[in-house]
Amino acid sequence: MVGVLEGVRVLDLGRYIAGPLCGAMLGDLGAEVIRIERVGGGEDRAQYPLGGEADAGAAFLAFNRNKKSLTLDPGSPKGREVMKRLVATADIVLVNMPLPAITRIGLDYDSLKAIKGDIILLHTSAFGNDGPYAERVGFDGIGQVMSGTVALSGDPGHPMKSVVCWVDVSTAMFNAYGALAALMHRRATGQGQKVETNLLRSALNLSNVQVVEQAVIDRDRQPTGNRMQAGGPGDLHQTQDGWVMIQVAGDGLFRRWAKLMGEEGLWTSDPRFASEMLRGDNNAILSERTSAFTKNLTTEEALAAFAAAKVPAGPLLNPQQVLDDPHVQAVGMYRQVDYPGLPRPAPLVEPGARFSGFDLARMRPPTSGEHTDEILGGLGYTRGEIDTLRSEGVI
Amino acid sequence: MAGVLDGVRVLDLGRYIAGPMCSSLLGDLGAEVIRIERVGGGEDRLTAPLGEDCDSGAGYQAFNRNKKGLTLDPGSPKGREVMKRLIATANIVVVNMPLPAIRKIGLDYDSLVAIKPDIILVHTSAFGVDGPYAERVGFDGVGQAMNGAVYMSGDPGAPRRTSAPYVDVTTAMFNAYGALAAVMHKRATGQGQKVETNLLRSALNLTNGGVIEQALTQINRVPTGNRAQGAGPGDIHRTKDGSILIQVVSDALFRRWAKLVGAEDWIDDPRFATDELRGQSNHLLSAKSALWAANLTTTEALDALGAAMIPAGPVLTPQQVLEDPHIIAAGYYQPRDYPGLPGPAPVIEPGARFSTIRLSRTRPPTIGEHTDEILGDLGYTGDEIDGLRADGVI
Repeated sequence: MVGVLEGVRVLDLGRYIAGPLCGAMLGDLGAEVIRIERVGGGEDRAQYPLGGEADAGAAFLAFNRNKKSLTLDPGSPKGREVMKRLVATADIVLVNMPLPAITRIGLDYDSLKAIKGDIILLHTSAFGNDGPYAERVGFDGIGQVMSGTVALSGDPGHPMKSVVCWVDVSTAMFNAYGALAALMHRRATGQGQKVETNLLRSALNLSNVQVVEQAVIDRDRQPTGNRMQAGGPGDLHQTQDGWVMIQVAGDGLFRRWAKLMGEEGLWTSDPRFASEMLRGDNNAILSERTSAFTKNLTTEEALAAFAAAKVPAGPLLNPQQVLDDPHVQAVGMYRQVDYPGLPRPAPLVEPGARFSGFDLARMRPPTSGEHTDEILGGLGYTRGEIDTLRSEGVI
Repeated sequence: MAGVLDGVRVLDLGRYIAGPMCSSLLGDLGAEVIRIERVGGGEDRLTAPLGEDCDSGAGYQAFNRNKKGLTLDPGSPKGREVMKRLIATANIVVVNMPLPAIRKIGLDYDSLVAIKPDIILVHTSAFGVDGPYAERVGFDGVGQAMNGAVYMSGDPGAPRRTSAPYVDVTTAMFNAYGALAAVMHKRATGQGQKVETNLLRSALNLTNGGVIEQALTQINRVPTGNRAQGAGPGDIHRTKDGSILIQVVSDALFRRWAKLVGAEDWIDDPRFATDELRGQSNHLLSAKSALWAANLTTTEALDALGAAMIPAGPVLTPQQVLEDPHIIAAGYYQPRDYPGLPGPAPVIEPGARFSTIRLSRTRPPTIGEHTDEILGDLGYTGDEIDGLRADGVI
């Protein structure tokens, strides 16, 4: 069957995650996504190299499914001409660079609109296009530390950043949401538009709870290690052979936890634990009790006990244990994908949304410049012209 | 002008974040979102309370804009009848509960389709509906622990979770993306469908790079505190009056950093020739960076890094977020009143800003605020509504 975005052409000038993952999510739905990267391959191919002959590392493989690749030097005069012809055929342009950089290579909204009146531009920057930091650059971690959540993670005086690029990924997802909304708008009205996202604003979307609380009641929270802040118990606990995470929220769950601990009345009648807020304030005691429960059990035994009591819990897994987990394997969370030069297939995760009404596209990530000739041919360039562009280093 | 989702009715049976935030994102685009919660108010109103006069806490305020509020006991016979009549008028149902729970109250896909054939169900669970953990419950932190990231954060032997609920939020966003794709599909074909998300799969979408690397190289990485992996320097450093994070990735950025901190001799040092090598030796790079930052105030350090085009930012507390000059100047927060709040709540602007589409902007509903209006539209008379209320159904 035909994909929701069949016939939509996306020019993906994204780098690293915030742009590229959005391109992949549009590709999942059937869009023709053309990754445009510098001659020789984009810098995001070099991260987390995998050995062998492959021209792509682990991060690139994770975020570039369902795309074609075109290499291009967009700064050269002939490169600009290729870009113009590409823009004329495109529906969406996706770019994560500061505004001065995209203006310089003619990818700002006004320049694009002059070529294609109903174009949709998705533009991601670090700090947005207004305000004092507008021209500064940034990566995921900058959004993390400026959101307020790093100051509240780890221990007092020792702020802790997560290794997970949640700012980049949520920005990519705001881009994808923005692209679909803009396409729906265009289908209804014929008008294109500009959709702007930035890392800082995405990051602040994830810390709004803490910021609202601070603004309204001056809560001045301090970090509490792995313990959750506004409820409890919620913490990592050691078992005989690993760690388990549990999270208790709501009165019903707290009663089930108390019953499992074996002194139900003791806990549920204690005024220190009478509400979600009080349990949050006093959850060191609840954590200690939970640890005393788990320390005599294996991880498997602890998880079985929590599952039987319907208390949310999971094991702490390292990347190898993720691959070995029986549930992860049973549900087919990863798809084994071949890529030229890799010593063996790479496990690409299934996208986060599963649809009953249509299939997602399933193309492996492209090698550097893999589809350059095909795409330029489609634009009307002859064989001889393509060879010349290549010998001049334009493609 | 009309919103992209004008005329789309969403029944939001979400709780906490993964469901409710999705519905807000649909409400932003003009959908009529009806939050259906238990009589007396959903349990997610209790998180991070904001004073005794307010029926809901900070968690609720953050994730429930652009909705109407309806209270209902969906388990009672009369409640089921109300729900059926609501479903007949709906286009999308958003629910985050385990599959057995939604079956029990008749919100599984087959039951919905029997009432409204072209319905779109957006269903979130903790572990999905297949596999050995399918019936287990879970929250954000469980996803964080199971995707490899908590293990890899913090120090060796001392795993660390983050206070940012990124598993819930990315699930909410997969839900919103899924809902929009399903609406586009329905507009093209007339067919509804079921969209399934789960916390574990969202969590694994954020760690795929690390898992691919492990599968192909058996690198067995261990945590490195706040230092970056796979590049460097990237770390949190103390300044004279606070802390900053810098992040250097790629050769060009490394050269700019080396010049700024007076380490030009490292530019051609083979130990630091690639991102991967810089990652392996980044304790040396971090030490140099830390020395440089220690002699500067946060503002001085950030100005110097900004001028050198090196990604950097201050570690901010929630209070400092509210006071940051860029955040204030860019207008990221919209102060919003809500009944009983001692002052307006700064609700964040959604992550995507549109040049043409205007987003909706209504405050979250109080408990059951629109119950009478919505039931009236379904054909219930004033007396019937009073009866339902007296019976505790609404």
